[in-house]
Amino acid sequence: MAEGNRREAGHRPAIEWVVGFVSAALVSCIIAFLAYEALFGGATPPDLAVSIDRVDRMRNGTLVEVIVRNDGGRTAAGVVAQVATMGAAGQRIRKTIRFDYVPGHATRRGAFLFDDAGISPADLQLSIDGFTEP
Amino acid sequence: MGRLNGLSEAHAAAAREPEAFLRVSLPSRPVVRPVPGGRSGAPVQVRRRDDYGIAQLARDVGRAGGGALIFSLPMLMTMEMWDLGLYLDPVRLLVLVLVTLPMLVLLSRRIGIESTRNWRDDCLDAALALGISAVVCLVVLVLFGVVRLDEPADVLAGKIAIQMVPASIGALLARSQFAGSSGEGNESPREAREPYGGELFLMGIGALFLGLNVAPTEEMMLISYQMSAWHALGLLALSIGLMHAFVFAVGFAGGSPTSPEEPWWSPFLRLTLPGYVIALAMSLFLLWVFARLDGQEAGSIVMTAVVLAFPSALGAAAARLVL
Repeated sequence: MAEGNRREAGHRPAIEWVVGFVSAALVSCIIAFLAYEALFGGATPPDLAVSIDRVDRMRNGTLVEVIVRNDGGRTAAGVVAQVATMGAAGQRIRKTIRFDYVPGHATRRGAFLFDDAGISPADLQLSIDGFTEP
Repeated sequence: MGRLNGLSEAHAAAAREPEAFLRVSLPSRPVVRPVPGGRSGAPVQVRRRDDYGIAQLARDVGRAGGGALIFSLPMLMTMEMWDLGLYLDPVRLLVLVLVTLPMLVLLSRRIGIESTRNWRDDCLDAALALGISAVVCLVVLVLFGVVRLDEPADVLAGKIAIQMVPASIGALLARSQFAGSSGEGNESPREAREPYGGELFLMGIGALFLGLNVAPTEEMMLISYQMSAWHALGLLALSIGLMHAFVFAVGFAGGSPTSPEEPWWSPFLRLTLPGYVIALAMSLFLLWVFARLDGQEAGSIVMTAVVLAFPSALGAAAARLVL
């Protein structure tokens, strides 16, 4: 019976076995990667930072594009990024934007809008206000 | 389409009468085509284009429209799909349509709106499916108030293009779904013998179709964020296990079947694992199209792909049931 089975399996065209073994190798790589992540990856808490990507002068103000980066292993939800600066009249201006999710070791982009056209990156103080677990 | 139908009948007549030449009457000029294997004999008169009739055309278009509607309705009523049409990079949408088009042609080769027999017919069939799907999606989205006809052309095109891909698969599948139930067609697509490549192709279509249903949703991403690598390993094992169960349950009755004499690992290696890799590849493609991979590193990408590969793998394994 076992010999019959082997004979049946051996009658398959070679291409079927080649595709099968290549697929097995690919799936094995994914399993090995996930196993490594599970054993040694370590689900560290979210480690969030916000930085300026670029500043664009617009017709009616300034567009400040920012990048939020999560260097931790876990995903952060409801991430609130804040920017503070002094306005032309000396008043303090605060603006916030909220990112639904920032996955671990991933980045998300957003932008602040200012009415003042003369904002420079040196005037801006960026911070992360907080986050929740997904 | 009438001419195409005529050609199909010509082939059918050839099958019945092997020693025959076929005279296929086209609207402009007659064409005489020798039947492969035929030697001589009386010509077989095939229906003229106008014999095809408005009723048959309306029935084919109606079937395709019905199939498009049934298969795309869940996505037409999904909010994320409306939004994606707004902001998605047009290049990605174009790639989605360009990748889908040859798949539709190949699908038409096997299951089409009509019983087509050559590549040109299949291309026309695929284009027809896309066109009917675009109209169906436009009408439904206008009725839902999602699309306004005074919107900019690029917005309109984006909202329709993203929806018409799954709809076009439904339009092509309409023949197998509806024609079978109405007793038409002597050869059921499910009973046709399928080569190994055909099996893998069907798996790809099944994975694409089911993956399209969930890939745009926020929940799909949220699931991957809530999972650990252990969860992902479990889900991967479950996906492959269920796929293999489907391979045996469905039997893959085509040209690359499993047989009771075969050891379990043979179909597992030849069908299940390649099927899962196809599901993973389709998942990654859809995630890229829907901009779900942007800003993510390798670990997150693998996790997200494994999550989407779960429904895609089921779609691939059950392709013979769905298609």
